[in-house]
Amino acid sequence: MLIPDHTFKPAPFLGSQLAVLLTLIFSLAIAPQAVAQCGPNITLTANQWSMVGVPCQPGPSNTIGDIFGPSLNAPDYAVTWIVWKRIYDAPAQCSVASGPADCYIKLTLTDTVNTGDAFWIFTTVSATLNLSAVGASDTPGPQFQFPATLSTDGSSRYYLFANPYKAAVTGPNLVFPTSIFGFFPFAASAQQAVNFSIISQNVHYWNGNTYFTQDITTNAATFVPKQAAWLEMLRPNPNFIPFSDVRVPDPGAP
Amino acid sequence: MNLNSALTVMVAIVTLGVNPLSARDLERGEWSVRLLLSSSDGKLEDTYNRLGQLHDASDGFDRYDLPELDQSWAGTYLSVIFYRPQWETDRESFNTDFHPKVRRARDEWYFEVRSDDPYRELSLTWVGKRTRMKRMVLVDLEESEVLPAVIDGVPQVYNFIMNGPVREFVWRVLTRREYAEFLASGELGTPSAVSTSAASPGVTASTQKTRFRSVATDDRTTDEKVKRAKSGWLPRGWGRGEGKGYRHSAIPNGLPDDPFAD
Repeated sequence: MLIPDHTFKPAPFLGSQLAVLLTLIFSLAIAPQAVAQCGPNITLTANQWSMVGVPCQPGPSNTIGDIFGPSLNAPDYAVTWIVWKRIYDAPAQCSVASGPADCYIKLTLTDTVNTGDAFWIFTTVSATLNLSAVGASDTPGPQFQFPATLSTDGSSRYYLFANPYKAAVTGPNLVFPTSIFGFFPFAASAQQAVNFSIISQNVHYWNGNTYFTQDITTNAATFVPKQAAWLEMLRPNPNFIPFSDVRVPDPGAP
Repeated sequence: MNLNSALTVMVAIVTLGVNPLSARDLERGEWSVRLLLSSSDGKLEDTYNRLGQLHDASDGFDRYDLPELDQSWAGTYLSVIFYRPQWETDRESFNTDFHPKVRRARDEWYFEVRSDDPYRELSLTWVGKRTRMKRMVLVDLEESEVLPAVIDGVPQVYNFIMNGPVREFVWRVLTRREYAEFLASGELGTPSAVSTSAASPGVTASTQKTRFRSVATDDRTTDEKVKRAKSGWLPRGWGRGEGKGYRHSAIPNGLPDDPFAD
């Protein structure tokens, strides 16, 4: 007499499905979470200056060491890599009359980093910059206000602009909120901002060995996450346009 | 309609009256050529300079001519520039240079290659509409070499070694007569010591070397103009960012030569 074997023996096909399921559960429950990236990684070439921007929202650990250290090795700071930042000109515009380093400051590992900040980084070792300390889902909101102001003299006022979002932004995406005659709010497009001398049409990019220029009124002026470019704020008629901001709408917003 | 709406309409009307700025799509009869410069080790490149003819461009500075910031502050640099110090008071170098559309007439663009390494080995080539480039040549003013832009429809590559931090070139559109003279010079297609080759991988083109003959002798005015433009502008300490010929931008001069310096 055959005695039925009640011991559970799954069929081979069912067993493989179960293994996959268990593996999935294990990886979700136990394995460390994959680090979210904010936009594509960029590569820093050895022995070159690079213009780097910080997109998304850094968490509470937001120092130079926290943000760039994992990619560039924090203990090697000031040995193989270094970060400089442009001084923003309050109240006067920065000039270089007294020396080449006046407009820049060398940062330390403990200096803080915020969304949309942009830096010059020099590294003697090629490295991939993934900004793993910056979360992919933490955007700075639907409308990022870039801290640029109009020129106060006849020369251009340069701002190192960084895309604050994880998706690319183009020049025509930018908005320049202003107030005509100081009373009537008006959100100028990039083309209108150029026409009114709020901003120059020229966006200056750096490829590691040369500058090149794109027209901000065209989609050729693309701001890729983690990269930076120079914007030139100008001086329109102060009675007509007394101020203007630079606003970046979230390209991922519906 | 309130005043705010009226102003918005006014601004919109003003904007509509302005043509789109540079980098717009080319219209019929217009053309552009993009210059592609790279070092032989493949580490450095400048592929962003454009020249050409547009219906509403001008011979001097216009809205299609985008300035280029100085790069000589960087320890290592390589750049193609259109050096036009006479155009604007605070701009000297340009990324693009567009001229008005002219038919069957000569036209030319003077440009420079600048390199921190005075002996760097470089390749210069270009992209554009090949049929348009048929009557165009590259002139190396230092070597007095003339290279056809295309041979059998294939864009050429000019390999050269810097001999100093600046090398001067002219991109020239020949008239039909000049082009005929150029062909009749008999040197088109003559192999030579100057290494030039087809731009497209896998496409073979005969190497070229053509002396700057009939074209050059007919063009004293241009060469003299080039020399005038050159003389006196190279400042002392060129290549170290010290010259007064550099624009007064806070950007190019702002970073230190030694990044790690205190």
